[in-house]
Formats: sequence, structure tokens, C-alpha cells
Amino acid sequence: MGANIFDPANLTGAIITLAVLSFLIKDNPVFDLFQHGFVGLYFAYSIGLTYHSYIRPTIVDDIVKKGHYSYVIPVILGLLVYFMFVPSMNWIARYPMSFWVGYGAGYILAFQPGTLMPQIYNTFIRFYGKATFLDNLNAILLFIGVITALAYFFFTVRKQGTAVGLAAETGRWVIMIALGAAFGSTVLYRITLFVGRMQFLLGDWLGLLK
Amino acid sequence: MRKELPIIVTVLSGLVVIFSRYFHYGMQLGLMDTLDKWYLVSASFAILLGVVNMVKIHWGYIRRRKEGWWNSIVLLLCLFGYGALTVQQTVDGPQAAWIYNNLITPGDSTMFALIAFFISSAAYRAFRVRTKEATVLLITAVIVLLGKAPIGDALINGWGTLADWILKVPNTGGFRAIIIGAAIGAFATGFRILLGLERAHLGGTGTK
Amino acid sequence: MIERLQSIDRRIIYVLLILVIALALLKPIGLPVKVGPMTKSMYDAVDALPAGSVLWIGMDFNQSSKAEQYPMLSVILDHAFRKNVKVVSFAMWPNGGQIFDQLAAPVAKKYNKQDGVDYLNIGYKPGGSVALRAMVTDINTAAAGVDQNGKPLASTPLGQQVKKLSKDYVGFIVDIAAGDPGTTDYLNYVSTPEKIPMATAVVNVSVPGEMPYVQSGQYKGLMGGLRGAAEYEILARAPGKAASGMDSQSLGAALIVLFIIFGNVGYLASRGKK
Repeated sequence: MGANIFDPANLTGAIITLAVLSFLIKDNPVFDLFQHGFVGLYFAYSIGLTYHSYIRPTIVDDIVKKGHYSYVIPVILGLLVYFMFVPSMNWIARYPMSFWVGYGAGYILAFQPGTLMPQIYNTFIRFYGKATFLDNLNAILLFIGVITALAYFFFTVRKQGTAVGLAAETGRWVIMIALGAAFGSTVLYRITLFVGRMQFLLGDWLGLLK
Repeated sequence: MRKELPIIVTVLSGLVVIFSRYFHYGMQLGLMDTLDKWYLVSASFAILLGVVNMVKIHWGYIRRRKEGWWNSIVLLLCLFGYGALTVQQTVDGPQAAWIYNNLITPGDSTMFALIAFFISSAAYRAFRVRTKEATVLLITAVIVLLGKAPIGDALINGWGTLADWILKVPNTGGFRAIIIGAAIGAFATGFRILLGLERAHLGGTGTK
Repeated sequence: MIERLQSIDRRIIYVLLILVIALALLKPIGLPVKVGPMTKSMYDAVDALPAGSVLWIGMDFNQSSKAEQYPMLSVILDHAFRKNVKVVSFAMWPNGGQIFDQLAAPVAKKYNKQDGVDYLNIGYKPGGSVALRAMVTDINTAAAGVDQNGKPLASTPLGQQVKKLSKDYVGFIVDIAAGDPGTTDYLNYVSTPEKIPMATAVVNVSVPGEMPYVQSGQYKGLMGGLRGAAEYEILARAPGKAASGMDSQSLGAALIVLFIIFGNVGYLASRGKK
């Protein structure tokens, strides 16, 4: 790969990587320092980004050049939120908050059903077309899985000795399997992330990988 | 005025979306398009909210010389220094991009990779065949863990197929129930907000 | 003696994990990767796009999932550019826009594709799902008229061509996502109401939770984790970083399973004694 250990870019990356990994030995001042630095950099990044990708074009292009003066209203609305830091007038910050929260709630109520419905109707078994015996068996198992796992979440119904109770008991196993799958996937994901860092250290930095 | 009007704002803005989505006339009116834009502009101007909060907290640490206060100085220096740089030359500018590529990227990805170690040590320590439930959890996790990496099939042919089946059938059943449950919960919260019952965003106790 | 297998020092696990992964990278054994049906159907869907049509790529991840998702983006771009499919990307995650620029540059060079003509990076816009939904009505308004680098969208041919995130302009959506906002937003606000087919490329940890949408056909395919990226690399005949990470990922996983077995053997032995 012809990497150069002293190339400033790779060297910086390697030092940072090793500094963060040093946490494995124990919590240490270097790690703390880097951690705080990151938080600062991260917030700073979003400021610069939002300024150039939205704030500046809105003011310079839309309002000043194109004359969309109505955009002044949301600009003021957005700025009102900073009254949060003025104790005597912090109620003013409720206005933008109310708009954002109400608008978000409207979004969920208006759009979510479209996504949810296919989840429900695809749970019901459909024996048609060229479905094999195995497909049908899987469809039945999936149906049982969804219904029983839902029953497990019925917390307001008396379960002991009822059919719901039996379903909920089965549902508990279904949830256990789902959580097991989730845990296995998580472990694999984290290993992969570390593999990525090793690829950087051994390959990009030290040039040991082909 | 201080409580009622914000609730009216909440309800009206939510109703605009619902009206626009479900009624043909509502869509034609274009009210939602206007409010979409208002939302985006107002949200972008609120970007400094978290920053102001953070500066307040860390400035307090520095003034009170709280343990590790020099970390707060580094944080504020990075915040203002890099903030000024990105505003001056955009995040794609030469120095700004260099910092992103060689400081933020390796740092952040290593931070996330660290968890590989904690999760493996936790798996070793906590995964015991103590109860039937724990055993099922453990077996599923191992099947999926090895089955989704190529080694499963290399050890026993068909291991990957078994892992795929677990993901496709019982796992889908479990997660679909979770999705349906969460959607109903989100729906109920949405209704409560539009009915003015959920008031956490206005400060105070949150519910009535 | 066997009981002591329960209490191996965590530092031993750490060191072994580092060694195993390093060794597998330095001396790859080349474990074969089988292509799964979910990656295959996603590949087929992208492959079926006619030349000149538009593939929309959602950039809803950042550098923290670099190891899994950079290879995903690279291989999808490679495939799209090879098929002469145009690419428009939009990020709901702040770093997504910049990552797209970085990774698209080498692939574009390989296929001689031009920014603004063959691909367009709208980049990051604040507002999450509302920004995404607003793209359905009008991309220019939702994006405040500029791309990732502040260049007017209307100044580029592709920016003039693709006016809305709707069926008339976009043929297929691939959302590369590591969390929220991400795939569900695409389902809720774009794919379902606008009837644009979509697939998703998610980090491995999200795969179990996304499976219900694969079963229901709401996703036309799913690329899951590094393995998914490696499978796609095989299909697109573009071997990259994903394939080379497979061995060390496998051995790392095997090591952890080995320790889980140790722990349980120790546990059972100690229980047997009692």
C-alpha cells in the first residue's frame, strides 16, 4: 500500500485511535481530554454545516434576493426558542416548541398508518400461488409468532389460566428469540467496527495489509 | 395566554398536516407546503440551542474549577475554534475537512468500536444457561452471531440458512409485535398532543 | 479447576480479540461468502433500473458506522455508475453529505462521471423527516436551493431535471441508515405515499428490527451489515473493503462464542459440585 507512518493525516488518525483505545486499559486523562474535544468539534461541525446549507441561503437568497419576506416569520419563530434562557420570559419559547411538537404529531397521525397497515395484513396467512409446504409452514409460524408476542404485551388483561395467558406465555419465547437475534447481531456489528479500526491501523497507517 | 395559546398553536399545526394528507382540498390549498418550509427554517435557526446550553454548563464548570475543568476549556476551544473555521470555509473547506477526516472520523469510529470489547466481555460474563429463557436467548444469539458471519457455514453447512430462518420467521414475529405496539403508542401520544392532554413540551409536569 | 473458566480476566479477552482480528487481517484465510436472498433481491432491483433513470440514496449514517457503511455506499455507487444510472443523495444525518462527497469522488472518476450531471449531492438539510417529506413537494424549496457545498441546485443539469422526490423523477430509493431518522421515515413519508420502491442498507444491529418490512415486501431487499456489503460486492463484481473484513469478523465472532462456551462449562461444573 506504500503507506507512510509519518504522514500527518494518518499519524493524527492513529494517535486518536490509540488514545481512544487506551480506555480499555483504564479510564485516563488523555481519553477524557479527547472525549471533551470531540463533543466540541461535533457541535461546531453542525453549526458550520447548518449555517451554509440553510441559514445563509435562506437569508441571502430567499429573503434578500428573491424577496420571500414571509420567511421572516419562521426565522423569528425559530429565534424565539432562545427565550428559554431568560427565566422571566421563558414562556415565549413555548410558541416554537408548540409548533414543532404539534406538527410532528400531525406527521405521525397522518403518515404512519400507511406504513403500519402492510405490517398487519401481511401477517395473515395467504395460501396461494406457488407456495411450498415450507412457505406455508413458515407463514403459520409467523402468524402464531406475531399474535402470541402481541398477547405478551397485553398488560391490562387478566392472564392467569386464560387463553390469552397461554398465548402470552408462548409470546414470551418468541420475544426471547427476537432479543437473542438482536443481541447476536449487535455483537457482530461491534466486532465489525473494531475490524474497521484495525484495517486503518494495520493497513492505512502501517501499510502492512495488501 | 401563556398556556392556552401555545396549545392552540400545537393543535392547529397538527391539524394542518392531517387535513392536507386526508383531504384532496387540503393538499390543493398548499398550507402544508408552507408550514413544511416554516418548520425547516425555524428548526435551522434553533440550531444553537444545544450549543448555548453546553456553553452555559461548561462555563460553570470552569468558573467553579470543578474537577477536570481543563477538559471543559478544551471543549469550548474546539467548539468556538472549529465553529469559526467551518462557518468561514464550510465543512468541506481544506482545513475543516482535514479535521473532520483525521480527528472526528477516527475518534468517533473508534469510540463506537470500543463497545466491541465491553459487549464481548459482557456476553462472556452474563450469558449463562441459568433459566430456560436465558438458554433460548443464548442459543439464538450464538446461531445468529456465527450464521451471519461466513464462519457459520464454514463450520457446518446450512448454519447460515438456519440463522436466516430465525431472522425471517420467529424474529420477524417478535419484532412485528414490537413495531405494532410502538406504532399504537406513538399514535396515542399523537392524539394526546393534539387533544391538548400531553403538555411536556410546554414545561411543567407534562400531563393533565 | 474447570469452575475457574467462569472468571477469566476481561483483559485476556481484550488482548485475544485484538490478536485474532489482527492475525486474520494479516493472514486472510478467505472464508467463502454465500450470497443471501435479501442482498440478491436488492441487487436485482438496482440492476433492473434503466440507464439514465434516477437512484435516490439516503445518507442516514455517519463516521461511527464507517466500517460497515462506507463499503455499502461505495459498492452501490459502483453498481449504479456502471449501469449509467444517475444518483441523487440527501442526508438527514449531519455528516452524511460530506461522506457522500468523499466516497463518490473515486467511483465517479473510475467511471468518468460528473458532479451535477451524473450525480447530485443535495447533502444535509436540517429538519429530519419534515425535510424529507418536503422533498416530495419540491426539492429546491426543501433544500433552500443549494447542494451540500452551497452551490445552487438549479445551476446543475441533474438539479434541474429532478424536481421532486416522486415517482415521476425517482426510480428507486436506497436508504443507507444507522438509526433514526432513517428507514422508517422513508417508508412513512416517501416510499408508501409516493409508491416509489425502496431497499435499505442498514448496520447489522438493525437487521432483526427491519426484517418485518422485508417480509411484508415494503423493502425490495436489504443489505445487512458488512456481510451484506460483501455479498453485494460479489454480485457487482467489485471486491472492496467489505470482502477483506469477512475473515477477521468471523474469527472475532468465533472467539466470543468460545468464551461464552467456557463461561457456561465453568458455570455448569460449579453447579454440579453444589
